[in-house]
Amino acid sequence: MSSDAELIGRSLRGDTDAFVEVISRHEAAIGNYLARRVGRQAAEDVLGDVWVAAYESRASYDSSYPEARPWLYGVALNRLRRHWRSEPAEEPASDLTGVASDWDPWPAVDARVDTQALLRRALARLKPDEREVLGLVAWEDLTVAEAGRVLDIPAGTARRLLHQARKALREAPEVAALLQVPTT
Amino acid sequence: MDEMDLMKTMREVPSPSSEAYDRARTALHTAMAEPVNTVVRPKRWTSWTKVGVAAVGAAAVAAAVVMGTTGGGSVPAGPSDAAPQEVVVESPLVKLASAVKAAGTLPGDSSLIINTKLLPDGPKQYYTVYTDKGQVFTGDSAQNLAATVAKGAAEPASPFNAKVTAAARLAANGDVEKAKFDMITAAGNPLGLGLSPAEADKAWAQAMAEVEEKFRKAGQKVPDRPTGKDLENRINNHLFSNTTHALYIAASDAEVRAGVLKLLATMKDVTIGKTDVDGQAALTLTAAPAIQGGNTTYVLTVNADNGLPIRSEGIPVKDAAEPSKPWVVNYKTARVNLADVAAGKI
Repeated sequence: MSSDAELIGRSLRGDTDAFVEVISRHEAAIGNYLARRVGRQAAEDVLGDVWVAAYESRASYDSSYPEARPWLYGVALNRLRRHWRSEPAEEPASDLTGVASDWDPWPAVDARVDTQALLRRALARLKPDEREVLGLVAWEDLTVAEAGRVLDIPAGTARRLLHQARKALREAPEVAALLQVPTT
Repeated sequence: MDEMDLMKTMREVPSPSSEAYDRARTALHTAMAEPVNTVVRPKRWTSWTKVGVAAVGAAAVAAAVVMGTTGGGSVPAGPSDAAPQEVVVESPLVKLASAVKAAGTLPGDSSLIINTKLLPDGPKQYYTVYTDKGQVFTGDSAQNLAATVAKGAAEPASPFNAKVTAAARLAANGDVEKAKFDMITAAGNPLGLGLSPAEADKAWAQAMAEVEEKFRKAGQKVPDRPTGKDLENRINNHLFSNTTHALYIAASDAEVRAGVLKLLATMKDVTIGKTDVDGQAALTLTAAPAIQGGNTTYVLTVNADNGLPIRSEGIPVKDAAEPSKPWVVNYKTARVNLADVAAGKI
Protein backbone atom coordinates (compact mmCIF):
# COMPACT_ATOMS: atom_id res chain seq x y z
CA MET A 1 0.00 0.00 0.00
CA SER A 2 1.30 3.43 -0.91
CA SER A 3 2.11 5.81 1.91
CA ASP A 4 0.25 9.08 2.26
CA ALA A 5 3.42 10.90 1.23
CA GLU A 6 3.61 8.88 -1.99
CA LEU A 7 -0.05 9.56 -2.77
CA ILE A 8 0.41 13.28 -2.18
CA GLY A 9 3.41 13.18 -4.47
CA ARG A 10 1.30 11.51 -7.16
CA SER A 11 -1.45 14.11 -6.71
CA LEU A 12 1.12 16.83 -7.35
CA ARG A 13 1.83 15.14 -10.67
CA GLY A 14 -1.86 15.33 -11.60
CA ASP A 15 -3.32 12.16 -10.09
CA THR A 16 -6.29 13.65 -8.24
CA ASP A 17 -7.60 10.23 -7.21
CA ALA A 18 -4.45 9.77 -5.18
CA PHE A 19 -5.35 12.76 -3.03
CA VAL A 20 -8.90 11.50 -2.58
CA GLU A 21 -7.37 8.26 -1.31
CA VAL A 22 -5.43 10.20 1.33
CA ILE A 23 -8.59 11.95 2.44
CA SER A 24 -10.59 8.75 2.64
CA ARG A 25 -7.96 7.26 4.96
CA HIS A 26 -8.29 10.08 7.47
CA GLU A 27 -11.70 11.64 7.01
CA ALA A 28 -13.30 10.00 10.04
CA ALA A 29 -10.47 11.06 12.33
CA ILE A 30 -10.47 14.63 11.05
CA GLY A 31 -14.28 14.80 11.09
CA ASN A 32 -14.37 13.70 14.72
CA TYR A 33 -11.57 16.10 15.60
CA LEU A 34 -13.59 18.97 14.17
CA ALA A 35 -16.74 17.80 15.94
CA ARG A 36 -14.89 17.69 19.26
CA ARG A 37 -13.73 21.23 18.77
CA VAL A 38 -16.78 23.01 17.37
CA GLY A 39 -19.70 20.58 17.53
CA ARG A 40 -21.12 18.41 14.79
CA GLN A 41 -23.00 21.08 12.88
CA ALA A 42 -20.06 23.43 12.50
CA ALA A 43 -17.75 20.49 11.82
CA GLU A 44 -19.93 19.51 8.89
CA ASP A 45 -19.72 23.06 7.57
CA VAL A 46 -15.94 23.26 7.91
CA LEU A 47 -14.95 19.78 6.70
CA GLY A 48 -15.08 20.58 2.98
CA ASP A 49 -12.96 23.69 3.57
CA VAL A 50 -10.35 21.53 5.29
CA TRP A 51 -10.07 19.18 2.30
CA VAL A 52 -9.84 22.08 -0.12
CA ALA A 53 -7.20 23.83 2.01
CA ALA A 54 -5.22 20.60 2.28
CA TYR A 55 -5.39 20.07 -1.46
CA GLU A 56 -4.29 23.62 -2.17
CA SER A 57 -1.36 23.42 0.23
CA ARG A 58 -0.23 19.88 -0.56
CA ALA A 59 2.90 21.18 -2.31
CA SER A 60 4.19 22.19 1.11
CA TYR A 61 3.81 18.66 2.48
CA ASP A 62 7.05 17.34 3.96
CA SER A 63 7.40 14.00 2.18
CA SER A 64 9.81 12.71 4.81
CA TYR A 65 6.69 11.92 6.84
CA PRO A 66 4.92 8.89 5.36
CA GLU A 67 1.77 9.47 7.44
CA ALA A 68 -0.28 12.60 6.64
CA ARG A 69 -2.69 12.60 9.55
CA PRO A 70 -0.78 15.07 11.76
CA TRP A 71 -0.45 17.39 8.78
CA LEU A 72 -4.20 17.16 8.17
CA TYR A 73 -4.84 17.98 11.83
CA GLY A 74 -2.70 21.06 11.33
CA VAL A 75 -4.68 22.09 8.26
CA ALA A 76 -7.91 21.49 10.18
CA LEU A 77 -6.67 23.54 13.13
CA ASN A 78 -5.89 26.45 10.82
CA ARG A 79 -9.38 26.28 9.39
CA LEU A 80 -10.83 26.18 12.88
CA ARG A 81 -8.88 29.28 13.83
CA ARG A 82 -10.34 31.08 10.86
CA HIS A 83 -13.77 29.75 11.75
CA TRP A 84 -13.53 30.98 15.35
CA ARG A 85 -12.17 34.31 14.29
CA SER A 86 -14.73 35.00 11.63
CA GLU A 87 -17.80 33.84 13.49
CA PRO A 88 -19.65 36.24 15.73
CA ALA A 89 -19.28 35.47 19.40
CA GLU A 90 -22.69 33.87 19.58
CA GLU A 91 -21.63 31.19 17.16
CA PRO A 92 -18.85 29.66 19.27
CA ALA A 93 -21.13 29.99 22.26
CA SER A 94 -23.88 28.07 20.55
CA ASP A 95 -21.35 25.52 19.35
CA LEU A 96 -20.33 24.85 22.92
CA THR A 97 -23.94 24.55 23.93
CA GLY A 98 -24.49 22.20 21.06
CA VAL A 99 -21.60 20.02 22.08
CA ALA A 100 -22.89 19.80 25.62
CA SER A 101 -26.43 19.05 24.58
CA ASP A 102 -25.32 16.44 22.07
CA TRP A 103 -23.50 14.62 24.84
CA ASP A 104 -26.35 12.78 26.34
CA PRO A 105 -26.74 9.27 25.04
CA TRP A 106 -26.08 7.82 28.47
CA PRO A 107 -28.17 7.77 31.64
CA ALA A 108 -25.45 9.57 33.54
CA VAL A 109 -25.75 12.57 31.34
CA ASP A 110 -26.07 15.10 34.14
CA ALA A 111 -22.92 13.96 35.85
CA ARG A 112 -21.09 13.86 32.55
CA VAL A 113 -22.15 17.33 31.53
CA ASP A 114 -21.25 18.65 34.94
CA THR A 115 -17.85 17.03 34.65
CA GLN A 116 -17.41 18.46 31.20
CA ALA A 117 -18.47 21.91 32.30
CA LEU A 118 -15.89 21.85 35.09
CA LEU A 119 -13.23 20.52 32.79
CA ARG A 120 -14.02 23.10 30.16
CA ARG A 121 -13.64 25.82 32.70
CA ALA A 122 -10.24 24.50 33.70
CA LEU A 123 -9.22 24.02 30.07
CA ALA A 124 -10.19 27.58 29.25
CA ARG A 125 -7.53 28.82 31.64
CA LEU A 126 -4.73 26.97 29.85
CA LYS A 127 -2.61 28.74 27.28
CA PRO A 128 -3.86 28.04 23.73
CA ASP A 129 -0.86 25.94 22.73
CA GLU A 130 -1.01 23.97 25.97
CA ARG A 131 -4.67 23.24 25.32
CA GLU A 132 -3.95 22.17 21.75
CA VAL A 133 -1.19 19.75 22.66
CA LEU A 134 -3.28 18.28 25.46
CA GLY A 135 -6.29 17.78 23.19
CA LEU A 136 -4.24 16.25 20.41
CA VAL A 137 -2.65 13.75 22.76
CA ALA A 138 -5.71 12.95 24.89
CA TRP A 139 -8.40 12.94 22.22
CA GLU A 140 -6.63 12.26 18.96
CA ASP A 141 -4.15 9.69 20.27
CA LEU A 142 -1.20 11.50 18.75
CA THR A 143 2.25 11.20 20.22
CA VAL A 144 3.76 14.35 21.66
CA ALA A 145 6.07 14.59 18.64
CA GLU A 146 3.11 14.31 16.28
CA ALA A 147 1.26 17.01 18.23
CA GLY A 148 4.33 19.18 17.78
CA ARG A 149 4.17 18.53 14.06
CA VAL A 150 0.52 19.63 13.99
CA LEU A 151 1.42 22.88 15.71
CA ASP A 152 4.70 23.28 13.82
CA ILE A 153 6.76 23.35 16.99
CA PRO A 154 9.69 21.16 18.10
CA ALA A 155 8.85 17.93 19.91
CA GLY A 156 10.65 19.18 23.01
CA THR A 157 8.46 22.26 23.11
CA ALA A 158 5.35 20.14 22.68
CA ARG A 159 6.51 17.92 25.54
CA ARG A 160 6.99 20.93 27.78
CA LEU A 161 3.57 22.30 26.84
CA LEU A 162 1.93 18.97 27.61
CA HIS A 163 3.68 18.81 30.96
CA GLN A 164 2.56 22.34 31.81
CA ALA A 165 -0.99 21.63 30.66
CA ARG A 166 -1.29 18.46 32.70
CA LYS A 167 0.15 20.13 35.77
CA ALA A 168 -2.14 23.14 35.46
CA LEU A 169 -5.14 20.91 34.91
CA ARG A 170 -4.27 18.67 37.83
CA GLU A 171 -3.89 21.66 40.09
CA ALA A 172 -7.09 23.38 38.96
CA PRO A 173 -9.55 23.28 41.88
CA GLU A 174 -12.35 21.91 39.68
CA VAL A 175 -10.21 19.07 38.38
CA ALA A 176 -8.69 18.32 41.78
CA ALA A 177 -12.22 17.94 43.12
CA LEU A 178 -13.21 15.68 40.24
CA LEU A 179 -10.18 13.49 40.79
CA GLN A 180 -11.17 12.96 44.39
CA VAL A 181 -14.67 11.67 43.68
CA PRO A 182 -15.75 8.70 41.64
CA THR A 183 -17.09 9.70 38.25
CA THR A 184 -19.43 7.81 35.99
CA MET B 1 -7.95 8.11 37.36
CA ASP B 2 -5.80 11.09 36.45
CA GLU B 3 -6.33 14.26 34.46
CA MET B 4 -5.74 12.47 31.15
CA ASP B 5 -8.47 9.97 31.96
CA LEU B 6 -10.79 12.87 32.73
CA MET B 7 -9.91 14.42 29.39
CA LYS B 8 -10.83 11.21 27.64
CA THR B 9 -14.34 11.42 29.09
CA MET B 10 -14.83 14.39 26.75
CA ARG B 11 -13.69 12.45 23.73
CA GLU B 12 -16.95 10.94 22.53
CA VAL B 13 -19.00 13.29 20.38
CA PRO B 14 -21.54 12.79 17.62
CA SER B 15 -19.63 12.39 14.38
CA PRO B 16 -20.45 14.30 11.23
CA SER B 17 -23.10 12.59 9.15
CA SER B 18 -22.24 10.49 6.12
CA GLU B 19 -23.96 13.14 3.98
CA ALA B 20 -21.55 15.71 5.40
CA TYR B 21 -18.58 13.56 4.39
CA ASP B 22 -20.08 13.28 0.91
CA ARG B 23 -20.55 17.04 0.68
CA ALA B 24 -16.98 17.62 1.84
CA ARG B 25 -15.67 15.27 -0.84
CA THR B 26 -17.80 17.04 -3.41
CA ALA B 27 -16.21 20.33 -2.35
CA LEU B 28 -12.80 18.73 -2.77
CA HIS B 29 -13.65 17.36 -6.21
CA THR B 30 -14.90 20.80 -7.24
CA ALA B 31 -11.69 22.43 -6.05
CA MET B 32 -9.60 19.83 -7.85
CA ALA B 33 -11.47 20.50 -11.05
CA GLU B 34 -10.80 24.23 -10.86
CA PRO B 35 -7.50 25.50 -12.15
CA VAL B 36 -7.45 28.43 -9.74
CA ASN B 37 -7.89 28.69 -6.03
CA THR B 38 -11.43 28.65 -4.82
CA VAL B 39 -12.83 31.96 -3.72
CA VAL B 40 -12.69 32.56 0.00
CA ARG B 41 -16.19 33.52 0.88
CA PRO B 42 -16.71 36.17 3.50
CA LYS B 43 -18.48 35.45 6.72
CA ARG B 44 -20.83 38.02 8.07
CA TRP B 45 -20.42 39.22 11.59
CA THR B 46 -24.06 39.86 12.10
CA SER B 47 -26.80 37.38 11.80
CA TRP B 48 -30.10 37.20 10.10
CA THR B 49 -32.77 34.72 11.03
CA LYS B 50 -31.13 31.41 11.65
CA VAL B 51 -31.23 29.25 8.54
CA GLY B 52 -31.72 32.17 6.25
CA VAL B 53 -28.79 33.99 7.65
CA ALA B 54 -26.40 31.09 7.67
CA ALA B 55 -27.33 30.12 4.18
CA VAL B 56 -27.37 33.60 2.81
CA GLY B 57 -24.16 34.52 4.60
CA ALA B 58 -22.39 31.40 3.42
CA ALA B 59 -23.34 32.17 -0.12
CA ALA B 60 -21.96 35.65 0.21
CA VAL B 61 -25.26 37.17 -0.61
CA ALA B 62 -25.35 40.91 -0.61
CA ALA B 63 -28.36 43.06 -0.96
CA ALA B 64 -29.94 45.26 -3.52
CA VAL B 65 -30.76 48.77 -2.52
CA VAL B 66 -32.22 52.02 -3.55
CA MET B 67 -30.20 54.71 -1.92
CA GLY B 68 -31.33 58.21 -1.21
CA THR B 69 -29.69 61.20 -2.71
CA THR B 70 -27.55 63.79 -1.08
CA GLY B 71 -27.79 66.99 -3.01
CA GLY B 72 -29.24 65.60 -6.21
CA GLY B 73 -26.41 63.30 -7.21
CA SER B 74 -27.04 60.29 -9.37
CA VAL B 75 -28.72 57.36 -7.66
CA PRO B 76 -27.98 53.74 -8.38
CA ALA B 77 -31.27 52.28 -9.54
CA GLY B 78 -32.53 49.21 -7.76
CA PRO B 79 -35.68 47.18 -7.47
CA SER B 80 -38.49 49.65 -7.10
CA ASP B 81 -39.99 48.00 -4.04
CA ALA B 82 -37.34 49.17 -1.63
CA ALA B 83 -37.88 52.34 0.31
CA PRO B 84 -35.29 55.04 -0.17
CA GLN B 85 -33.07 56.09 2.70
CA GLU B 86 -32.00 59.55 3.49
CA VAL B 87 -28.50 60.41 4.42
CA VAL B 88 -28.25 61.90 7.87
CA VAL B 89 -25.57 64.53 7.81
CA GLU B 90 -26.04 66.05 11.25
CA SER B 91 -24.33 63.24 13.08
CA PRO B 92 -21.58 63.32 15.70
CA LEU B 93 -20.05 60.52 13.67
CA VAL B 94 -19.49 62.84 10.72
CA LYS B 95 -17.71 65.32 12.95
CA LEU B 96 -15.63 62.54 14.46
CA ALA B 97 -14.85 61.21 10.98
CA SER B 98 -13.43 64.57 9.98
CA ALA B 99 -11.27 64.69 13.09
CA VAL B 100 -10.05 61.15 12.52
CA LYS B 101 -9.11 61.84 8.93
CA ALA B 102 -7.38 65.08 9.84
CA ALA B 103 -5.35 63.36 12.54
CA GLY B 104 -4.04 60.88 9.97
CA THR B 105 -2.68 57.39 10.34
CA LEU B 106 0.07 56.66 12.80
CA PRO B 107 3.39 55.30 11.49
CA GLY B 108 3.58 51.62 10.70
CA ASP B 109 2.64 49.26 7.91
CA SER B 110 -0.06 47.12 9.54
CA SER B 111 -3.06 47.06 11.85
CA LEU B 112 -3.01 44.79 14.86
CA ILE B 113 -6.42 43.84 16.20
CA ILE B 114 -6.75 41.85 19.38
CA ASN B 115 -10.28 40.76 20.03
CA THR B 116 -11.53 38.99 23.07
CA LYS B 117 -14.70 36.98 22.86
CA LEU B 118 -16.44 36.24 26.11
CA LEU B 119 -17.57 32.64 25.85
CA PRO B 120 -19.34 30.50 28.42
CA ASP B 121 -16.08 28.80 29.39
CA GLY B 122 -14.07 31.98 29.63
CA PRO B 123 -12.60 34.67 27.39
CA LYS B 124 -10.79 33.73 24.19
CA GLN B 125 -8.34 36.05 22.51
CA TYR B 126 -7.62 36.29 18.80
CA TYR B 127 -4.71 38.21 17.34
CA THR B 128 -4.85 39.39 13.76
CA VAL B 129 -2.48 41.56 11.77
CA TYR B 130 -3.78 43.17 8.58
CA THR B 131 -0.95 44.63 6.52
CA ASP B 132 -1.49 47.63 4.30
CA LYS B 133 -0.62 45.36 1.37
CA GLY B 134 -3.60 43.13 2.14
CA GLN B 135 -1.92 40.23 3.92
CA VAL B 136 -3.59 38.75 6.98
CA PHE B 137 -1.77 36.89 9.76
CA THR B 138 -3.50 35.30 12.70
CA GLY B 139 -2.75 33.71 16.03
CA ASP B 140 -4.42 32.93 19.29
CA SER B 141 -1.56 34.34 21.34
CA ALA B 142 1.09 36.99 20.82
CA GLN B 143 3.75 34.29 20.49
CA ASN B 144 1.69 32.27 18.05
CA LEU B 145 1.07 35.38 15.95
CA ALA B 146 4.77 36.28 15.93
CA ALA B 147 5.63 32.77 14.76
CA THR B 148 3.04 32.94 11.99
CA VAL B 149 4.36 36.29 10.77
CA ALA B 150 7.99 35.15 11.02
CA LYS B 151 7.17 32.15 8.83
CA GLY B 152 5.31 34.34 6.35
CA ALA B 153 2.29 32.07 6.74
CA ALA B 154 -0.36 34.56 5.65
CA GLU B 155 -3.99 33.63 5.27
CA PRO B 156 -5.32 33.35 1.73
CA ALA B 157 -6.00 36.76 0.22
CA SER B 158 -9.52 38.00 0.84
CA PRO B 159 -11.15 39.97 -1.98
CA PHE B 160 -13.95 40.78 0.45
CA ASN B 161 -11.58 42.49 2.88
CA ALA B 162 -10.07 44.48 0.04
CA LYS B 163 -13.48 45.60 -1.17
CA VAL B 164 -14.85 46.74 2.18
CA THR B 165 -11.72 48.71 3.04
CA ALA B 166 -11.71 50.31 -0.43
CA ALA B 167 -15.36 51.28 0.00
CA ALA B 168 -14.60 52.82 3.39
CA ARG B 169 -11.71 54.83 1.91
CA LEU B 170 -13.99 56.04 -0.86
CA ALA B 171 -16.49 57.25 1.74
CA ALA B 172 -13.73 59.06 3.61
CA ASN B 173 -12.70 60.83 0.45
CA GLY B 174 -16.11 62.13 -0.48
CA ASP B 175 -18.26 59.86 -2.62
CA VAL B 176 -20.40 58.42 0.14
CA GLU B 177 -23.21 57.25 -2.17
CA LYS B 178 -20.88 55.25 -4.42
CA ALA B 179 -19.14 53.96 -1.30
CA LYS B 180 -22.47 52.71 0.07
CA PHE B 181 -23.14 50.87 -3.16
CA ASP B 182 -19.68 49.29 -3.09
CA MET B 183 -19.97 48.40 0.57
CA ILE B 184 -23.37 46.74 0.22
CA THR B 185 -22.29 44.75 -2.83
CA ALA B 186 -18.81 43.87 -1.50
CA ALA B 187 -19.77 40.21 -1.36
CA GLY B 188 -21.90 40.10 -4.50
CA ASN B 189 -25.17 41.46 -5.76
CA PRO B 190 -27.81 38.74 -5.86
CA LEU B 191 -30.64 41.12 -5.00
CA GLY B 192 -29.74 43.18 -8.00
CA LEU B 193 -28.58 46.57 -6.88
CA GLY B 194 -28.93 48.75 -9.93
CA LEU B 195 -30.81 46.06 -11.83
CA SER B 196 -34.37 45.95 -13.08
CA PRO B 197 -36.84 43.92 -10.98
CA ALA B 198 -36.66 41.10 -13.54
CA GLU B 199 -32.90 41.05 -13.45
CA ALA B 200 -32.97 41.21 -9.67
CA ASP B 201 -35.29 38.18 -9.59
CA LYS B 202 -32.84 36.30 -11.77
CA ALA B 203 -29.88 37.27 -9.59
CA TRP B 204 -31.76 36.15 -6.49
CA ALA B 205 -32.68 32.82 -8.07
CA GLN B 206 -29.05 32.20 -8.97
CA ALA B 207 -27.91 32.97 -5.43
CA MET B 208 -30.57 30.75 -3.89
CA ALA B 209 -29.61 27.86 -6.16
CA GLU B 210 -26.26 27.82 -4.36
CA VAL B 211 -27.83 27.44 -0.94
CA GLU B 212 -30.94 25.47 -1.79
CA GLU B 213 -29.47 22.38 -0.17
CA LYS B 214 -29.20 24.06 3.24
CA PHE B 215 -32.83 25.08 3.21
CA ARG B 216 -33.89 21.65 2.03
CA LYS B 217 -31.92 20.02 4.82
CA ALA B 218 -33.59 22.28 7.35
CA GLY B 219 -36.99 21.38 5.92
CA GLN B 220 -37.57 24.95 4.85
CA LYS B 221 -38.70 26.51 1.64
CA VAL B 222 -36.21 28.59 -0.30
CA PRO B 223 -37.31 32.16 0.40
CA ASP B 224 -38.61 34.51 -2.22
CA ARG B 225 -36.68 37.64 -2.94
CA PRO B 226 -37.45 40.04 -0.10
CA THR B 227 -39.41 43.13 -0.93
CA GLY B 228 -40.51 46.35 0.73
CA LYS B 229 -39.47 46.82 4.33
CA ASP B 230 -37.91 43.38 4.49
CA LEU B 231 -35.67 44.27 1.56
CA GLU B 232 -34.76 47.57 3.14
CA ASN B 233 -33.82 45.83 6.40
CA ARG B 234 -31.64 43.35 4.58
CA ILE B 235 -29.92 46.11 2.71
CA ASN B 236 -29.20 47.88 5.96
CA ASN B 237 -28.05 44.63 7.54
CA HIS B 238 -25.46 44.24 4.84
CA LEU B 239 -24.39 47.85 4.97
CA PHE B 240 -23.95 47.70 8.73
CA SER B 241 -22.33 44.27 8.69
CA ASN B 242 -19.82 45.03 5.95
CA THR B 243 -19.01 48.49 7.26
CA THR B 244 -18.32 47.28 10.78
CA HIS B 245 -16.25 44.44 9.31
CA ALA B 246 -14.08 47.08 7.63
CA LEU B 247 -13.65 48.76 11.01
CA TYR B 248 -12.67 45.53 12.71
CA ILE B 249 -10.03 44.63 10.15
CA ALA B 250 -8.50 48.05 9.52
CA ALA B 251 -9.37 50.22 12.49
CA SER B 252 -5.90 51.67 12.83
CA ASP B 253 -6.07 53.06 9.28
CA ALA B 254 -7.45 56.56 9.77
CA GLU B 255 -8.93 56.74 6.28
CA VAL B 256 -10.82 53.49 6.66
CA ARG B 257 -12.00 54.47 10.11
CA ALA B 258 -13.21 57.86 8.94
CA GLY B 259 -15.07 56.27 6.03
CA VAL B 260 -16.68 53.72 8.31
CA LEU B 261 -17.95 56.47 10.59
CA LYS B 262 -19.33 58.43 7.64
CA LEU B 263 -21.13 55.39 6.28
CA LEU B 264 -22.63 54.48 9.64
CA ALA B 265 -23.77 58.09 10.01
CA THR B 266 -26.03 57.60 6.98
CA MET B 267 -28.04 54.82 8.63
CA LYS B 268 -31.34 55.81 10.17
CA ASP B 269 -31.53 52.49 11.99
CA VAL B 270 -28.30 53.22 13.84
CA THR B 271 -28.72 55.53 16.81
CA ILE B 272 -25.86 57.31 18.49
CA GLY B 273 -25.44 57.62 22.24
CA LYS B 274 -22.78 58.77 24.67
CA THR B 275 -21.14 56.67 27.34
CA ASP B 276 -17.77 56.15 28.91
CA VAL B 277 -15.58 53.09 29.16
CA ASP B 278 -13.09 53.06 32.02
CA GLY B 279 -13.16 56.84 32.12
CA GLN B 280 -12.74 57.22 28.36
CA ALA B 281 -15.52 59.08 26.57
CA ALA B 282 -17.16 56.77 24.07
CA LEU B 283 -20.00 56.66 21.58
CA THR B 284 -22.48 53.84 21.29
CA LEU B 285 -23.81 52.99 17.85
CA THR B 286 -26.92 50.93 18.32
CA ALA B 287 -28.27 49.03 15.34
CA ALA B 288 -32.00 48.42 15.62
CA PRO B 289 -33.18 44.81 15.89
CA ALA B 290 -35.01 45.25 12.58
CA ILE B 291 -31.69 45.13 10.74
CA GLN B 292 -30.45 42.20 12.82
CA GLY B 293 -33.18 39.76 11.95
CA GLY B 294 -35.45 41.06 14.71
CA ASN B 295 -33.85 39.12 17.55
CA THR B 296 -30.73 41.09 18.47
CA THR B 297 -29.80 44.65 19.27
CA TYR B 298 -26.22 45.23 18.12
CA VAL B 299 -24.29 47.84 20.06
CA LEU B 300 -20.91 48.98 18.82
CA THR B 301 -18.91 51.17 21.21
CA VAL B 302 -16.15 53.36 19.81
CA ASN B 303 -13.71 55.78 21.40
CA ALA B 304 -15.31 59.23 21.19
CA ASP B 305 -11.97 60.89 20.52
CA ASN B 306 -10.55 58.70 17.79
CA GLY B 307 -13.29 56.32 16.61
CA LEU B 308 -11.37 53.14 17.44
CA PRO B 309 -13.61 50.19 18.30
CA ILE B 310 -13.78 49.25 21.97
CA ARG B 311 -16.54 46.71 22.15
CA SER B 312 -19.39 45.09 20.25
CA GLU B 313 -22.28 43.41 21.91
CA GLY B 314 -25.35 41.47 20.88
CA ILE B 315 -28.29 41.92 23.21
CA PRO B 316 -31.15 39.46 22.70
CA VAL B 317 -34.54 40.99 22.04
CA LYS B 318 -36.96 39.88 24.70
CA ASP B 319 -39.74 37.62 23.42
CA ALA B 320 -38.26 37.44 19.91
CA ALA B 321 -39.75 34.70 17.74
CA GLU B 322 -36.30 33.18 17.32
CA PRO B 323 -34.38 34.02 20.50
CA SER B 324 -30.73 34.88 20.15
CA LYS B 325 -27.89 34.51 22.63
CA PRO B 326 -25.99 37.39 24.16
CA TRP B 327 -22.42 37.89 23.01
CA VAL B 328 -19.64 40.37 23.62
CA VAL B 329 -16.39 41.07 21.82
CA ASN B 330 -13.81 43.54 23.16
CA TYR B 331 -11.24 45.10 20.84
CA LYS B 332 -7.75 46.46 21.18
CA THR B 333 -6.22 48.00 18.12
CA ALA B 334 -2.77 49.31 17.34
CA ARG B 335 -0.69 50.51 14.43
CA VAL B 336 2.37 48.29 14.15
CA ASN B 337 5.28 47.33 11.91
CA LEU B 338 5.12 43.80 10.62
CA ALA B 339 8.83 43.29 11.33
CA ASP B 340 8.23 44.15 14.99
CA VAL B 341 5.42 41.63 15.18
CA ALA B 342 7.67 38.94 13.70
CA ALA B 343 10.30 39.81 16.30
CA GLY B 344 7.75 39.37 19.07
CA LYS B 345 7.73 43.07 19.97
CA ILE B 346 4.04 43.38 20.69
